Amino acid sequence: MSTSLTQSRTTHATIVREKPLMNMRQILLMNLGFFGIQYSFGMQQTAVNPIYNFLGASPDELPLLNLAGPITGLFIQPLIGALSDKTWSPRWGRRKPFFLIGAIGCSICLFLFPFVAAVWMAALLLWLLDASNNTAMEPYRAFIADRLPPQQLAKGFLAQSFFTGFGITLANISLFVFQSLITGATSAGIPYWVVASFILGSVCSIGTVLVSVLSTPELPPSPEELAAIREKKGGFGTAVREIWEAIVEMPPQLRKLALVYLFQWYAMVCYWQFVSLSISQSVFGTTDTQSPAYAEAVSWTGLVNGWYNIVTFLVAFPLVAFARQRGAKWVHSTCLLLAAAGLLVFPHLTNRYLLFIPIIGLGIAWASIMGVPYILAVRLIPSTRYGVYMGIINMMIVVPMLIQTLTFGAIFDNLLGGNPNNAITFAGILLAIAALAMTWIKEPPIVRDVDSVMAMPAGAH
Amino acid sequence: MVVVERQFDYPRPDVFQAWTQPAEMARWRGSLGWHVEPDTVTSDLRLGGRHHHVKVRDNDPTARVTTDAVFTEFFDPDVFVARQRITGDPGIDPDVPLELRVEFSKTGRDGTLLRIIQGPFEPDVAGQHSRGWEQELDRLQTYLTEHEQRAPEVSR
Repeated sequence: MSTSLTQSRTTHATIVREKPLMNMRQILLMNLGFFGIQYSFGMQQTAVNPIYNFLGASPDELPLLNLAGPITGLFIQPLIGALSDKTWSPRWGRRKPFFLIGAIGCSICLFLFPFVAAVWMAALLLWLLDASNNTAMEPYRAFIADRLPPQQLAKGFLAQSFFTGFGITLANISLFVFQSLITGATSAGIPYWVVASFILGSVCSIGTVLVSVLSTPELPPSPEELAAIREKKGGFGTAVREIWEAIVEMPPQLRKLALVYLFQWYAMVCYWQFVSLSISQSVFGTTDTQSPAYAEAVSWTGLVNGWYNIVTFLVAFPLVAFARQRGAKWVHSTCLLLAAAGLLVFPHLTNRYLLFIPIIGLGIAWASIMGVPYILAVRLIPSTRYGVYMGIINMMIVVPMLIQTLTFGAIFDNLLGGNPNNAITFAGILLAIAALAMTWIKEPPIVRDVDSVMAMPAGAH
Repeated sequence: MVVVERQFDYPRPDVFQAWTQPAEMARWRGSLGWHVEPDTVTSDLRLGGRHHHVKVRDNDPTARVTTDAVFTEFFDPDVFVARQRITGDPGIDPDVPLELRVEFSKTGRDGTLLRIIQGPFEPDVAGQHSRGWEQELDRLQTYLTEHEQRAPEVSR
């Protein structure tokens, strides 16, 4: 394993990387840390708002209290990406120092979270937790692109989808199981079953990242590339400049992906925000959030969301085969269409059990969203800038989330008649538009898996 | 697998042509101390088309490395993939086929990000081929520069 760089007479250099092929066990071990990080995200998504409620925060304060997610994602991920591109430590590597620091932060925050005694403490910890989650997650995407040859990138990124579904599912299952097994509460009123789930998350977060760090070495740069990295090192200001330069020089097809992401992530936030209200209205016949029927709807929403995450990890690896045969563009477009079809049907169902059928489409799309666009993206960008571009792709996720936060209130009241079922239909339509926008992207021709290439006959003499 | 990248300030069709047209590729392919014999280059530029060329050591014409290949993908000017059988190179087993994938991505206003993926190689052989590609891409840069300088004269 080595890397070398030669400066030519022009400004451009040749970057050479020797990437050994990895077997499935190695790919899974390399991505295991992603499970811990996603478990942490799962806890953040599912259990943080109940903690705010236990501490006495009012429902109208929740959007502001949850602003940590998009804001830290917007600023931290590109910065960490740009910094990690210019990092090398013989002992710790290029990306690993960041996801190790992030995982330690996640672990400490998750451990402390259930012991908070006031809303401000919970808000502060959420910012720290989200910053840690983002610090850990961003270089993980670049780590896959650094380590795997193009023929194995699909497996690498969809292993991350697999662990996304698996991590979030287990976070939800732990909350569900501990609730029925553990009784009692802390002096601040937080139930011990919540405490147990957070502590399990704390252990998973650092434990799985450590397994990945210890089992998967990074590819070292040559002395020449190392010298170039050291020469360009400049801290925060340089990182900001590199983010700006990367945005200006972004390949046209990646710009088109930003359009797909605008519709796709706007739709996902609409779904997450309104699914419980929609189920409450269509299946349980109420929109009164204080009613017992609404509480039952919330609980059922947990099961529906748990199911689509199970679908996500079940379909992640089959999607590798489809991406190999059809290309990332058509696979992602098809998956988004399946989700769109599911969401268009979803609000019209009145039988709670039938909800599990259309939401399969969203589970398939979620697996694709978390992995497939990255297969395409890393083929368009230089490997020396994987970190910064992965951060910019994350900006493409959080900016639509912020736009949704700012605009959807008015759309919901004025266009959708304040009807949560219409919000789900609206999300379905946006996903269909995202699927159409995806077809506008000109994808470089398919990279086949190395196994299928080696099975073919060679050029004859 | 060996993954080699370099950016060129030339449009993709120019770089793709330099790689694939027999008359052009014969002028720059080959690492330091080697050259391609122009008469040996044949290339049927289509999916399933065959390619053949012989590299010869500059100071020892008896040292010859022959490449036979079939294009398993050919999309001008995006990418080509060739399934190769290389004979005469002591580091490469001619009975173990290699894959050469060359991608041409648009970058900046009118530049090309070239990415070569070749393998599988044994680790020690991979290092040798990495150095070879570095030298060949330096020669490609020189060729493209000279080609550009000649172009205005041709048009006059």
